[in-house]
Amino acid sequence: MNVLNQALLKPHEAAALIGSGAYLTIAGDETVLAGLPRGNWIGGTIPYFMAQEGGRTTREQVFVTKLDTFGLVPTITQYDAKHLPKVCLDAPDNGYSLIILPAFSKIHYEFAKNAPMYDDMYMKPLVGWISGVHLDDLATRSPKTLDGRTGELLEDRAVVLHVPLPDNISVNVNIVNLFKQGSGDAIYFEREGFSASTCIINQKPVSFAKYLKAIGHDTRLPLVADYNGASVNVSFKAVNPLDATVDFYGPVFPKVAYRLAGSFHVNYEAAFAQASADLPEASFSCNCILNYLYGELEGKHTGQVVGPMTFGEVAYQLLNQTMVQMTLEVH
Amino acid sequence: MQAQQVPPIEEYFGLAVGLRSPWRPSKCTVNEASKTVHLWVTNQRVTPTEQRRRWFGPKTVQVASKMTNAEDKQWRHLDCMNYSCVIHTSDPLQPGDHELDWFGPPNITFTRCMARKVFQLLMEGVDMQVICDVLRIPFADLWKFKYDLDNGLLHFEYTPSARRKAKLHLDALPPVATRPAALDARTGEANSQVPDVSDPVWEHLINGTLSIDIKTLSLQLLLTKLRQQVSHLQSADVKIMKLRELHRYVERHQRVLRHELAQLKPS
Repeated sequence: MNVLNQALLKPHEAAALIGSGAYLTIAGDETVLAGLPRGNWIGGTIPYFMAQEGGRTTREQVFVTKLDTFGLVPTITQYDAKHLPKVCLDAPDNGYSLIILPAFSKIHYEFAKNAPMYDDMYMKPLVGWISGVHLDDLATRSPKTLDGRTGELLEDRAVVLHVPLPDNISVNVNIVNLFKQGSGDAIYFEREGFSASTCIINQKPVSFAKYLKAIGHDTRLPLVADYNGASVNVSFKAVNPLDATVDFYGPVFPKVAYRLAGSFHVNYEAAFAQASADLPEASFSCNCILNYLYGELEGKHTGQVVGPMTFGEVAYQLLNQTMVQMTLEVH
Repeated sequence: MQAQQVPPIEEYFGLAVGLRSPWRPSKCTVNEASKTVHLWVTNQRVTPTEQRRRWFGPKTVQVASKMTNAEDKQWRHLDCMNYSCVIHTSDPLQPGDHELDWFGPPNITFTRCMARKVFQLLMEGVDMQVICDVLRIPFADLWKFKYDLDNGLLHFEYTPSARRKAKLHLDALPPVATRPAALDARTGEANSQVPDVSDPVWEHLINGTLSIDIKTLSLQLLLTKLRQQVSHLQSADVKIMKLRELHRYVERHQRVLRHELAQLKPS
Protein backbone atom coordinates (compact mmCIF):
# COMPACT_ATOMS: atom_id res chain seq x y z
CA MET A 1 0.00 0.00 0.00
CA ASN A 2 1.91 3.08 -1.09
CA VAL A 3 1.38 6.37 -2.78
CA LEU A 4 2.01 4.80 -6.20
CA ASN A 5 -1.47 3.27 -5.88
CA GLN A 6 -2.80 6.70 -6.81
CA ALA A 7 -1.55 8.72 -9.77
CA LEU A 8 -2.46 11.10 -12.58
CA LEU A 9 -1.99 9.09 -15.76
CA LYS A 10 -2.29 9.40 -19.49
CA PRO A 11 -5.30 7.54 -20.94
CA HIS A 12 -3.20 4.76 -22.46
CA GLU A 13 -1.54 4.15 -19.07
CA ALA A 14 -4.95 3.93 -17.44
CA ALA A 15 -6.11 1.59 -20.21
CA ALA A 16 -3.17 -0.71 -19.50
CA LEU A 17 -4.09 -0.84 -15.84
CA ILE A 18 -7.68 -1.60 -16.75
CA GLY A 19 -6.48 -4.34 -19.07
CA SER A 20 -4.54 -5.93 -16.25
CA GLY A 21 -7.82 -6.66 -14.49
CA ALA A 22 -7.09 -4.39 -11.55
CA TYR A 23 -9.93 -2.81 -9.57
CA LEU A 24 -9.79 0.95 -10.03
CA THR A 25 -11.56 4.22 -9.46
CA ILE A 26 -10.91 6.77 -12.18
CA ALA A 27 -11.55 10.49 -12.23
CA GLY A 28 -11.34 12.56 -15.37
CA ASP A 29 -13.02 14.56 -18.06
CA GLU A 30 -16.11 12.91 -19.54
CA THR A 31 -14.67 12.54 -23.03
CA VAL A 32 -11.53 10.81 -21.81
CA LEU A 33 -13.42 8.52 -19.44
CA ALA A 34 -15.80 7.50 -22.21
CA GLY A 35 -12.81 6.42 -24.31
CA LEU A 36 -11.36 4.04 -21.74
CA PRO A 37 -11.84 0.29 -22.19
CA ARG A 38 -14.32 -1.78 -20.17
CA GLY A 39 -13.08 -3.33 -16.98
CA ASN A 40 -13.26 -3.50 -13.22
CA TRP A 41 -13.57 0.18 -12.53
CA ILE A 42 -15.91 2.97 -11.56
CA GLY A 43 -15.48 6.54 -12.66
CA GLY A 44 -16.61 10.09 -12.15
CA THR A 45 -16.19 13.28 -14.12
CA ILE A 46 -13.87 15.99 -12.80
CA PRO A 47 -10.87 17.79 -14.31
CA TYR A 48 -9.24 19.07 -11.11
CA PHE A 49 -6.59 17.03 -9.34
CA MET A 50 -3.90 17.07 -6.72
CA ALA A 51 -1.17 15.05 -8.37
CA GLN A 52 2.34 14.11 -7.28
CA GLU A 53 3.59 17.15 -9.16
CA GLY A 54 1.03 19.46 -7.53
CA GLY A 55 -2.41 20.78 -8.33
CA ARG A 56 -3.41 20.23 -11.99
CA THR A 57 -6.40 21.13 -14.09
CA THR A 58 -6.51 18.91 -17.14
CA ARG A 59 -9.01 17.39 -19.54
CA GLU A 60 -6.33 15.15 -21.03
CA GLN A 61 -5.33 12.95 -18.12
CA VAL A 62 -7.16 10.81 -15.57
CA PHE A 63 -6.56 10.22 -11.89
CA VAL A 64 -6.44 6.51 -11.11
CA THR A 65 -6.69 4.87 -7.71
CA LYS A 66 -5.75 1.20 -7.73
CA LEU A 67 -7.33 -0.78 -4.93
CA ASP A 68 -5.53 -3.64 -3.20
CA THR A 69 -7.84 -6.65 -3.16
CA PHE A 70 -5.71 -9.18 -1.20
CA GLY A 71 -6.96 -12.02 -3.35
CA LEU A 72 -10.63 -11.27 -2.67
CA VAL A 73 -13.13 -10.12 -5.29
CA PRO A 74 -14.79 -6.69 -5.05
CA THR A 75 -18.19 -6.06 -6.60
CA ILE A 76 -19.41 -3.08 -8.59
CA THR A 77 -23.00 -1.91 -8.11
CA GLN A 78 -25.09 0.91 -9.53
CA TYR A 79 -27.68 2.55 -7.28
CA ASP A 80 -30.59 4.80 -8.08
CA ALA A 81 -32.07 7.13 -5.47
CA LYS A 82 -34.65 4.57 -4.40
CA HIS A 83 -32.15 1.81 -3.65
CA LEU A 84 -29.27 3.88 -2.33
CA PRO A 85 -30.38 3.51 1.32
CA LYS A 86 -29.21 -0.11 1.24
CA VAL A 87 -25.68 0.74 0.14
CA CYS A 88 -24.22 -0.06 3.58
CA LEU A 89 -26.26 -3.24 3.90
CA ASP A 90 -24.69 -4.41 0.63
CA ALA A 91 -21.21 -3.60 1.92
CA PRO A 92 -18.93 -6.46 2.92
CA ASP A 93 -18.88 -7.52 6.52
CA ASN A 94 -15.17 -6.59 6.67
CA GLY A 95 -14.00 -4.13 4.08
CA TYR A 96 -15.12 -0.82 2.70
CA SER A 97 -17.21 0.73 -0.03
CA LEU A 98 -16.12 3.45 -2.40
CA ILE A 99 -18.90 5.57 -3.88
CA ILE A 100 -19.09 8.21 -6.60
CA LEU A 101 -22.25 10.30 -7.05
CA PRO A 102 -23.02 12.90 -9.74
CA ALA A 103 -23.32 16.45 -8.41
CA PHE A 104 -26.60 18.35 -8.52
CA SER A 105 -28.59 15.19 -9.21
CA LYS A 106 -31.55 13.75 -7.33
CA ILE A 107 -29.37 10.98 -5.96
CA HIS A 108 -26.77 13.50 -4.74
CA TYR A 109 -29.46 15.32 -2.75
CA GLU A 110 -30.95 12.06 -1.49
CA PHE A 111 -27.55 10.95 -0.18
CA ALA A 112 -26.77 14.35 1.30
CA LYS A 113 -29.99 14.49 3.30
CA ASN A 114 -30.50 10.87 4.29
CA ALA A 115 -27.14 9.09 4.40
CA PRO A 116 -26.77 9.45 8.19
CA MET A 117 -29.97 7.41 8.53
CA TYR A 118 -29.00 4.56 6.22
CA ASP A 119 -28.96 1.18 7.90
CA ASP A 120 -25.43 0.14 8.93
CA MET A 121 -24.16 3.67 8.25
CA TYR A 122 -20.98 4.26 10.33
CA MET A 123 -20.88 0.53 11.00
CA LYS A 124 -19.10 -0.09 7.68
CA PRO A 125 -16.60 2.29 6.09
CA LEU A 126 -17.93 4.33 3.16
CA VAL A 127 -15.73 6.83 1.34
CA GLY A 128 -15.95 8.55 -2.00
CA TRP A 129 -16.67 11.76 -3.82
CA ILE A 130 -19.11 13.80 -5.83
CA SER A 131 -18.33 14.09 -9.52
CA GLY A 132 -18.37 17.48 -11.23
CA VAL A 133 -17.37 19.34 -14.37
CA HIS A 134 -14.92 22.00 -15.43
CA LEU A 135 -16.27 25.31 -14.10
CA ASP A 136 -16.33 26.64 -17.67
CA ASP A 137 -18.77 23.84 -18.57
CA LEU A 138 -21.29 24.33 -15.76
CA ALA A 139 -23.94 25.59 -18.16
CA THR A 140 -23.33 23.01 -20.88
CA ARG A 141 -22.37 19.74 -19.24
CA SER A 142 -23.69 17.69 -16.35
CA PRO A 143 -21.60 15.79 -13.82
CA LYS A 144 -21.63 12.05 -14.41
CA THR A 145 -20.55 8.72 -13.02
CA LEU A 146 -19.39 5.78 -15.07
CA ASP A 147 -19.77 2.04 -14.68
CA GLY A 148 -16.54 0.66 -16.09
CA ARG A 149 -18.04 -2.77 -16.69
CA THR A 150 -20.36 -1.42 -19.36
CA GLY A 151 -19.04 2.03 -20.18
CA GLU A 152 -22.39 3.60 -19.25
CA LEU A 153 -22.24 7.29 -18.37
CA LEU A 154 -24.83 7.96 -15.66
CA GLU A 155 -26.38 11.28 -14.72
CA ASP A 156 -28.50 10.14 -11.79
CA ARG A 157 -26.94 6.98 -10.46
CA ALA A 158 -24.21 6.28 -7.95
CA VAL A 159 -21.54 3.74 -8.73
CA VAL A 160 -20.03 1.81 -5.85
CA LEU A 161 -17.12 -0.57 -5.43
CA HIS A 162 -17.74 -2.87 -2.48
CA VAL A 163 -14.28 -4.13 -1.44
CA PRO A 164 -13.99 -7.06 0.99
CA LEU A 165 -10.84 -7.38 3.08
CA PRO A 166 -9.26 -10.23 5.04
CA ASP A 167 -10.26 -10.30 8.69
CA ASN A 168 -6.83 -9.13 9.87
CA ILE A 169 -7.13 -5.80 8.03
CA SER A 170 -9.22 -2.90 9.29
CA VAL A 171 -10.10 0.40 7.65
CA ASN A 172 -9.44 3.88 9.03
CA VAL A 173 -11.25 6.88 7.60
CA ASN A 174 -9.79 10.27 8.48
CA ILE A 175 -10.68 13.79 7.48
CA VAL A 176 -8.61 16.95 7.40
CA ASN A 177 -10.78 20.00 7.88
CA LEU A 178 -8.92 23.29 8.03
CA PHE A 179 -11.95 25.04 9.46
CA LYS A 180 -13.12 25.14 13.05
CA GLN A 181 -16.13 26.78 14.60
CA GLY A 182 -15.50 30.46 15.20
CA SER A 183 -16.49 32.36 18.31
CA GLY A 184 -19.59 33.90 16.76
CA ASP A 185 -23.28 33.19 17.23
CA ALA A 186 -24.72 29.70 17.33
CA ILE A 187 -26.97 29.43 14.26
CA TYR A 188 -29.88 27.02 13.98
CA PHE A 189 -32.09 26.17 11.02
CA GLU A 190 -35.68 25.08 11.40
CA ARG A 191 -35.77 22.99 8.24
CA GLU A 192 -33.24 20.77 6.53
CA GLY A 193 -32.25 21.67 3.03
CA PHE A 194 -29.74 23.04 0.59
CA SER A 195 -31.18 26.52 0.96
CA ALA A 196 -32.33 28.72 3.81
CA SER A 197 -33.96 32.10 4.17
CA THR A 198 -34.31 32.38 7.93
CA CYS A 199 -32.28 31.01 10.78
CA ILE A 200 -32.51 31.20 14.56
CA ILE A 201 -29.89 33.26 16.38
CA ASN A 202 -30.19 34.00 20.09
CA GLN A 203 -33.61 32.34 19.94
CA LYS A 204 -34.89 34.85 17.38
CA PRO A 205 -35.62 34.24 13.69
CA VAL A 206 -33.47 36.38 11.43
CA SER A 207 -32.87 36.62 7.71
CA PHE A 208 -29.69 34.61 7.19
CA ALA A 209 -28.70 36.54 4.06
CA LYS A 210 -29.08 39.87 5.86
CA TYR A 211 -27.19 38.55 8.87
CA LEU A 212 -24.24 37.50 6.71
CA LYS A 213 -24.18 40.90 5.05
CA ALA A 214 -24.46 42.77 8.34
CA ILE A 215 -21.44 41.01 9.82
CA GLY A 216 -19.51 41.19 6.54
CA HIS A 217 -18.94 37.44 6.47
CA ASP A 218 -16.47 36.03 3.94
CA THR A 219 -18.48 33.19 2.39
CA ARG A 220 -15.33 31.26 1.61
CA LEU A 221 -15.53 30.36 5.29
CA PRO A 222 -18.20 27.68 5.73
CA LEU A 223 -20.73 26.94 8.42
CA VAL A 224 -19.23 24.38 10.82
CA ALA A 225 -21.00 21.92 13.11
CA ASP A 226 -19.31 20.03 15.92
CA TYR A 227 -20.05 16.30 15.76
CA ASN A 228 -18.49 15.14 19.02
CA GLY A 229 -15.15 16.61 18.09
CA ALA A 230 -15.41 16.18 14.32
CA SER A 231 -15.83 19.50 12.51
CA VAL A 232 -18.30 19.11 9.65
CA ASN A 233 -18.69 21.94 7.12
CA VAL A 234 -21.57 23.23 5.08
CA SER A 235 -20.13 25.40 2.31
CA PHE A 236 -21.77 28.49 0.88
CA LYS A 237 -22.83 28.31 -2.75
CA ALA A 238 -24.61 31.64 -3.17
CA VAL A 239 -26.17 34.48 -1.22
CA ASN A 240 -29.13 35.73 -3.22
CA PRO A 241 -29.93 39.38 -2.42
CA LEU A 242 -33.12 39.47 -4.49
CA ASP A 243 -35.03 36.87 -2.49
CA ALA A 244 -32.72 36.90 0.55
CA THR A 245 -32.01 33.18 0.37
CA VAL A 246 -28.71 31.44 0.96
CA ASP A 247 -27.77 28.32 -1.01
CA PHE A 248 -25.34 25.68 0.23
CA TYR A 249 -23.29 22.85 -1.27
CA GLY A 250 -24.60 20.51 1.40
CA PRO A 251 -27.75 20.41 3.50
CA VAL A 252 -28.19 22.09 6.83
CA PHE A 253 -30.10 20.07 9.42
CA PRO A 254 -32.45 21.26 12.18
CA LYS A 255 -31.43 21.04 15.83
CA VAL A 256 -27.72 21.29 14.93
CA ALA A 257 -25.73 24.21 16.30
CA TYR A 258 -23.73 25.75 13.46
CA ARG A 259 -21.17 28.50 13.79
CA LEU A 260 -19.40 30.33 11.03
CA ALA A 261 -15.82 29.15 10.63
CA GLY A 262 -13.16 31.25 12.25
CA SER A 263 -10.91 33.38 10.09
CA PHE A 264 -8.24 31.53 8.25
CA HIS A 265 -4.86 33.28 7.98
CA VAL A 266 -2.53 30.39 7.18
CA ASN A 267 -2.13 29.48 3.53
CA TYR A 268 -3.87 26.33 2.39
CA GLU A 269 -0.74 24.60 1.15
CA ALA A 270 1.05 24.94 4.46
CA ALA A 271 -2.07 24.10 6.46
CA PHE A 272 -2.75 20.89 4.57
CA ALA A 273 0.90 19.90 4.73
CA GLN A 274 0.92 20.33 8.49
CA ALA A 275 -2.44 18.65 9.08
CA SER A 276 -1.63 15.62 6.96
CA ALA A 277 1.98 15.23 8.07
CA ASP A 278 1.25 12.43 10.51
CA LEU A 279 -1.25 10.55 8.36
CA PRO A 280 -0.12 7.19 6.97
CA GLU A 281 -0.06 6.60 3.23
CA ALA A 282 -3.58 6.47 1.88
CA SER A 283 -5.32 3.82 -0.15
CA PHE A 284 -7.77 6.49 -1.25
CA SER A 285 -7.95 10.25 -0.81
CA CYS A 286 -9.78 13.22 -2.25
CA ASN A 287 -10.23 16.90 -1.52
CA CYS A 288 -12.66 19.69 -2.34
CA ILE A 289 -12.75 21.91 -5.42
CA LEU A 290 -13.42 24.86 -3.08
CA ASN A 291 -10.12 24.24 -1.30
CA TYR A 292 -8.46 24.04 -4.72
CA LEU A 293 -9.95 27.38 -5.81
CA TYR A 294 -9.87 29.36 -2.56
CA GLY A 295 -6.44 28.01 -1.69
CA GLU A 296 -5.11 28.62 -5.23
CA LEU A 297 -3.66 25.14 -5.13
CA GLU A 298 -2.85 24.87 -8.82
CA GLY A 299 0.83 24.00 -8.94
CA LYS A 300 0.96 23.61 -5.17
CA HIS A 301 0.83 20.56 -2.88
CA THR A 302 -1.27 19.37 0.03
CA GLY A 303 1.47 17.51 1.83
CA GLN A 304 1.83 13.97 0.51
CA VAL A 305 -1.88 13.62 -0.15
CA VAL A 306 -3.10 13.32 -3.73
CA GLY A 307 -6.46 12.72 -5.36
CA PRO A 308 -9.29 14.30 -7.32
CA MET A 309 -10.51 17.74 -6.21
CA THR A 310 -14.23 17.16 -6.17
CA PHE A 311 -17.66 18.72 -5.87
CA GLY A 312 -18.18 17.09 -2.49
CA GLU A 313 -16.49 14.42 -0.42
CA VAL A 314 -17.83 11.31 1.27
CA ALA A 315 -16.57 10.05 4.61
CA TYR A 316 -19.66 8.11 5.61
CA GLN A 317 -21.79 11.17 4.91
CA LEU A 318 -21.45 14.14 2.59
CA LEU A 319 -18.77 16.66 3.49
CA ASN A 320 -17.73 20.02 2.06
CA GLN A 321 -14.34 21.71 1.91
CA THR A 322 -12.70 18.67 3.51
CA MET A 323 -9.91 16.30 2.65
CA VAL A 324 -10.85 12.63 3.04
CA GLN A 325 -8.32 9.88 3.48
CA MET A 326 -8.76 6.13 3.85
CA THR A 327 -5.98 3.90 5.12
CA LEU A 328 -5.74 0.18 5.83
CA GLU A 329 -4.28 -1.24 9.01
CA VAL A 330 -2.91 -4.77 9.25
CA HIS A 331 -3.29 -6.47 12.62
CA MET B 1 -87.38 -23.90 0.36
CA GLN B 2 -85.31 -20.78 0.43
CA ALA B 3 -81.71 -21.26 -0.75
CA GLN B 4 -79.19 -20.63 2.01
CA GLN B 5 -77.49 -17.30 1.47
CA VAL B 6 -73.74 -17.57 1.09
CA PRO B 7 -71.95 -14.47 2.25
CA PRO B 8 -69.88 -12.78 -0.45
CA ILE B 9 -66.22 -13.77 -0.40
CA GLU B 10 -65.18 -10.33 0.82
CA GLU B 11 -67.08 -10.96 4.04
CA TYR B 12 -64.76 -13.84 4.83
CA PHE B 13 -61.74 -11.67 4.12
CA GLY B 14 -63.24 -8.97 6.31
CA LEU B 15 -63.54 -11.48 9.14
CA ALA B 16 -59.95 -12.60 8.64
CA VAL B 17 -58.73 -8.99 8.71
CA GLY B 18 -60.68 -8.42 11.90
CA LEU B 19 -62.85 -5.58 10.66
CA ARG B 20 -65.11 -4.06 13.25
CA SER B 21 -68.28 -2.07 12.76
CA PRO B 22 -68.85 0.42 11.21
CA TRP B 23 -66.09 -0.81 8.90
CA ARG B 24 -67.05 -3.54 6.48
CA PRO B 25 -65.66 -5.06 3.33
CA SER B 26 -67.17 -3.71 0.14
CA LYS B 27 -65.25 -5.49 -2.59
CA CYS B 28 -62.38 -7.83 -3.18
CA THR B 29 -60.37 -8.93 -6.15
CA VAL B 30 -57.80 -11.67 -6.44
CA ASN B 31 -54.96 -11.14 -8.88
CA GLU B 32 -53.56 -14.53 -9.72
CA ALA B 33 -50.68 -13.15 -11.74
CA SER B 34 -49.27 -11.07 -8.90
CA LYS B 35 -50.69 -13.41 -6.23
CA THR B 36 -52.35 -10.53 -4.44
CA VAL B 37 -55.69 -10.20 -2.69
CA HIS B 38 -57.09 -6.68 -2.76
CA LEU B 39 -59.78 -5.89 -0.21
CA TRP B 40 -61.73 -2.65 -0.17
CA VAL B 41 -63.25 -1.52 3.11
CA THR B 42 -65.67 1.22 3.85
CA ASN B 43 -67.71 2.62 6.70
CA GLN B 44 -70.45 3.79 4.36
CA ARG B 45 -73.89 2.22 4.75
CA VAL B 46 -74.87 -0.68 2.55
CA THR B 47 -76.33 0.60 -0.73
CA PRO B 48 -79.52 -0.84 -2.23
CA THR B 49 -77.43 -2.33 -5.02
CA GLU B 50 -75.36 -4.21 -2.49
CA GLN B 51 -78.48 -5.33 -0.63
CA ARG B 52 -79.86 -6.80 -3.84
CA ARG B 53 -76.55 -8.49 -4.51
CA ARG B 54 -76.56 -10.17 -1.16
CA TRP B 55 -80.19 -11.28 -1.57
CA PHE B 56 -79.53 -13.02 -4.86
CA GLY B 57 -76.28 -14.57 -3.86
CA PRO B 58 -72.60 -13.96 -4.17
CA LYS B 59 -71.86 -12.13 -7.35
CA THR B 60 -69.20 -9.55 -7.75
CA VAL B 61 -71.00 -6.38 -8.70
CA GLN B 62 -69.24 -3.08 -9.01
CA VAL B 63 -70.61 -0.98 -6.18
CA ALA B 64 -70.62 2.67 -7.12
CA SER B 65 -68.74 4.65 -4.55
CA LYS B 66 -70.35 7.80 -3.26
CA MET B 67 -66.98 9.43 -3.46
CA THR B 68 -66.30 8.86 -7.13
CA ASN B 69 -63.20 10.99 -7.20
CA ALA B 70 -61.92 10.01 -3.79
CA GLU B 71 -58.31 8.94 -3.50
CA ASP B 72 -57.80 5.21 -3.16
CA LYS B 73 -55.57 4.72 -0.14
CA GLN B 74 -53.91 1.38 0.30
CA TRP B 75 -51.69 -0.46 2.74
CA ARG B 76 -49.92 -3.78 2.62
CA HIS B 77 -51.40 -6.14 5.21
CA LEU B 78 -50.32 -9.53 6.55
CA ASP B 79 -50.28 -12.24 3.90
CA CYS B 80 -53.32 -14.33 3.12
CA MET B 81 -51.77 -17.80 2.85
CA ASN B 82 -49.61 -17.66 -0.29
CA TYR B 83 -51.06 -14.35 -1.40
CA SER B 84 -50.06 -10.84 -0.45
CA CYS B 85 -52.93 -8.78 0.89
CA VAL B 86 -53.58 -5.11 0.25
CA ILE B 87 -56.29 -3.16 2.07
CA HIS B 88 -57.89 -0.26 0.23
CA THR B 89 -60.31 2.46 1.16
CA SER B 90 -61.62 5.53 -0.59
CA ASP B 91 -63.29 6.82 2.56
CA PRO B 92 -61.93 9.98 4.12
CA LEU B 93 -60.10 8.98 7.28
CA GLN B 94 -60.04 10.67 10.63
CA PRO B 95 -56.75 10.73 12.58
CA GLY B 96 -58.03 7.99 14.87
CA ASP B 97 -58.76 5.71 11.92
CA HIS B 98 -55.02 5.39 11.29
CA GLU B 99 -54.75 3.56 14.61
CA LEU B 100 -56.98 0.73 13.37
CA ASP B 101 -55.26 -2.56 12.59
CA TRP B 102 -56.43 -2.58 8.97
CA PHE B 103 -55.16 0.90 8.13
CA GLY B 104 -51.71 2.31 8.46
CA PRO B 105 -50.08 5.56 9.58
CA PRO B 106 -50.43 8.26 6.88
CA ASN B 107 -47.01 8.00 5.24
CA ILE B 108 -46.33 4.32 5.85
CA THR B 109 -47.21 1.63 3.32
CA PHE B 110 -48.05 -1.09 5.88
CA THR B 111 -51.19 -1.55 7.93
CA ARG B 112 -50.71 -1.09 11.65
CA CYS B 113 -51.03 -4.82 12.10
CA MET B 114 -48.24 -5.47 9.60
CA ALA B 115 -46.18 -2.62 11.06
CA ARG B 116 -46.30 -4.21 14.51
CA LYS B 117 -44.91 -7.41 13.06
CA VAL B 118 -42.12 -5.54 11.29
CA PHE B 119 -41.36 -3.61 14.49
CA GLN B 120 -41.16 -6.84 16.47
CA LEU B 121 -38.68 -8.28 13.98
CA LEU B 122 -36.54 -5.14 14.10
CA MET B 123 -36.52 -5.20 17.90
CA GLU B 124 -35.50 -8.85 17.85
CA GLY B 125 -32.48 -7.83 15.79
CA VAL B 126 -33.52 -9.40 12.50
CA ASP B 127 -31.53 -8.02 9.56
CA MET B 128 -33.49 -5.56 7.43
CA GLN B 129 -32.79 -7.42 4.21
CA VAL B 130 -34.01 -10.65 5.80
CA ILE B 131 -37.22 -8.91 6.86
CA CYS B 132 -37.71 -7.71 3.27
CA ASP B 133 -37.05 -11.15 1.83
CA VAL B 134 -39.28 -13.04 4.26
CA LEU B 135 -42.19 -10.60 4.28
CA ARG B 136 -41.74 -9.68 0.61
CA ILE B 137 -41.74 -5.96 1.18
CA PRO B 138 -39.66 -3.38 -0.72
CA PHE B 139 -36.52 -2.26 1.04
CA ALA B 140 -37.41 1.42 0.45
CA ASP B 141 -40.68 0.95 2.37
CA LEU B 142 -38.94 -0.73 5.27
CA TRP B 143 -36.23 1.92 5.36
CA LYS B 144 -38.85 4.72 5.49
CA PHE B 145 -40.63 2.88 8.32
CA LYS B 146 -37.42 2.53 10.33
CA TYR B 147 -36.55 6.17 9.61
CA ASP B 148 -39.85 7.30 11.16
CA LEU B 149 -39.34 4.91 14.07
CA ASP B 150 -35.79 6.19 14.70
CA ASN B 151 -36.99 9.78 14.66
CA GLY B 152 -39.83 9.24 17.10
CA LEU B 153 -42.58 9.65 14.49
CA LEU B 154 -44.00 6.17 15.12
CA HIS B 155 -44.67 4.39 18.40
CA PHE B 156 -45.18 0.73 19.09
CA GLU B 157 -45.03 -1.43 22.17
CA TYR B 158 -42.44 -4.18 22.23
CA THR B 159 -42.99 -7.58 23.80
CA PRO B 160 -39.70 -9.49 23.73
CA SER B 161 -39.80 -13.05 22.49
CA ALA B 162 -39.02 -15.85 24.95
CA ARG B 163 -35.56 -16.16 23.45
CA ARG B 164 -34.92 -12.44 23.77
CA LYS B 165 -36.20 -12.47 27.35
CA ALA B 166 -33.77 -15.27 28.14
CA LYS B 167 -30.93 -13.33 26.53
CA LEU B 168 -31.86 -10.15 28.42
CA HIS B 169 -31.81 -12.18 31.63
CA LEU B 170 -28.31 -13.45 30.78
CA ASP B 171 -27.16 -9.96 29.86
CA ALA B 172 -28.30 -8.71 33.25
CA LEU B 173 -26.06 -11.21 35.03
CA PRO B 174 -22.50 -10.22 35.95
CA PRO B 175 -20.32 -10.69 32.85
CA VAL B 176 -18.34 -13.92 32.72
CA ALA B 177 -15.72 -15.11 30.23
CA THR B 178 -17.80 -16.88 27.61
CA ARG B 179 -15.21 -16.93 24.85
CA PRO B 180 -11.69 -18.28 24.71
CA ALA B 181 -9.07 -15.75 25.66
CA ALA B 182 -7.14 -16.45 22.44
CA LEU B 183 -6.93 -13.53 20.02
CA ASP B 184 -9.68 -13.28 17.45
CA ALA B 185 -8.38 -12.09 14.07
CA ARG B 186 -11.45 -9.96 13.60
CA THR B 187 -11.70 -8.25 16.96
CA GLY B 188 -8.00 -8.26 17.67
CA GLU B 189 -8.45 -8.70 21.39
CA ALA B 190 -10.53 -10.63 23.85
CA ASN B 191 -14.01 -9.13 24.05
CA SER B 192 -13.85 -8.39 27.77
CA GLN B 193 -12.66 -4.82 26.99
CA VAL B 194 -16.11 -3.82 25.85
CA PRO B 195 -18.62 -3.28 28.68
CA ASP B 196 -21.63 -5.53 28.44
CA VAL B 197 -24.66 -4.13 26.63
CA SER B 198 -26.56 -3.95 29.93
CA ASP B 199 -23.88 -1.76 31.54
CA PRO B 200 -25.22 1.75 32.35
CA VAL B 201 -22.15 3.29 30.70
CA TRP B 202 -23.90 2.99 27.32
CA GLU B 203 -26.89 4.97 28.48
CA HIS B 204 -24.63 7.58 30.02
CA LEU B 205 -22.68 7.82 26.78
CA ILE B 206 -25.74 8.06 24.57
CA ASN B 207 -27.56 10.65 26.65
CA GLY B 208 -24.44 12.77 27.03
CA THR B 209 -23.95 12.47 30.79
CA LEU B 210 -20.68 10.68 30.05
CA SER B 211 -18.33 12.63 27.80
CA ILE B 212 -15.22 10.98 26.35
CA ASP B 213 -12.53 12.09 23.94
CA ILE B 214 -13.25 10.47 20.58
CA LYS B 215 -10.68 10.29 17.82
CA THR B 216 -12.44 7.84 15.50
CA LEU B 217 -14.54 9.65 12.90
CA SER B 218 -17.25 7.01 12.56
CA LEU B 219 -17.86 6.98 16.31
CA GLN B 220 -17.99 10.79 16.40
CA LEU B 221 -20.64 10.79 13.69
CA LEU B 222 -22.59 7.79 15.00
CA LEU B 223 -22.77 9.12 18.53
CA THR B 224 -23.96 12.50 17.28
CA LYS B 225 -26.75 10.80 15.35
CA LEU B 226 -27.80 8.54 18.22
CA ARG B 227 -27.79 11.37 20.76
CA GLN B 228 -30.01 13.45 18.49
CA GLN B 229 -32.40 10.54 17.99
CA VAL B 230 -32.57 9.55 21.65
CA SER B 231 -33.27 13.11 22.73
CA HIS B 232 -36.51 13.03 20.67
CA LEU B 233 -37.64 9.51 21.41
CA GLN B 234 -40.55 8.70 23.68
CA SER B 235 -40.40 4.95 23.30
CA ALA B 236 -38.13 3.23 25.82
CA ASP B 237 -37.99 0.20 23.53
CA VAL B 238 -36.59 2.17 20.61
CA LYS B 239 -34.06 3.77 22.97
CA ILE B 240 -32.90 0.28 23.87
CA MET B 241 -32.51 -0.41 20.16
CA LYS B 242 -30.23 2.63 19.91
CA LEU B 243 -28.15 1.46 22.88
CA ARG B 244 -27.72 -1.91 21.25
CA GLU B 245 -26.69 -0.23 18.00
CA LEU B 246 -23.96 1.70 19.82
CA HIS B 247 -22.77 -1.40 21.65
CA ARG B 248 -22.73 -3.41 18.41
CA TYR B 249 -20.64 -0.73 16.72
CA VAL B 250 -18.07 -0.60 19.54
CA GLU B 251 -17.88 -4.38 19.76
CA ARG B 252 -17.34 -4.63 16.03
CA HIS B 253 -14.63 -1.97 15.88
CA GLN B 254 -12.96 -2.44 19.25
CA ARG B 255 -9.53 -3.11 17.74
CA VAL B 256 -9.38 0.49 16.44
CA LEU B 257 -11.13 2.03 19.47
CA ARG B 258 -8.47 1.48 22.13
CA HIS B 259 -8.32 5.18 22.98
CA GLU B 260 -12.09 5.41 23.43
CA LEU B 261 -12.50 2.07 25.22
CA ALA B 262 -9.90 3.02 27.77
CA GLN B 263 -12.29 5.78 28.90
CA LEU B 264 -15.25 3.44 29.35
CA LYS B 265 -15.01 1.87 32.76
CA PRO B 266 -17.56 -0.89 33.39
CA SER B 267 -19.71 0.03 36.39
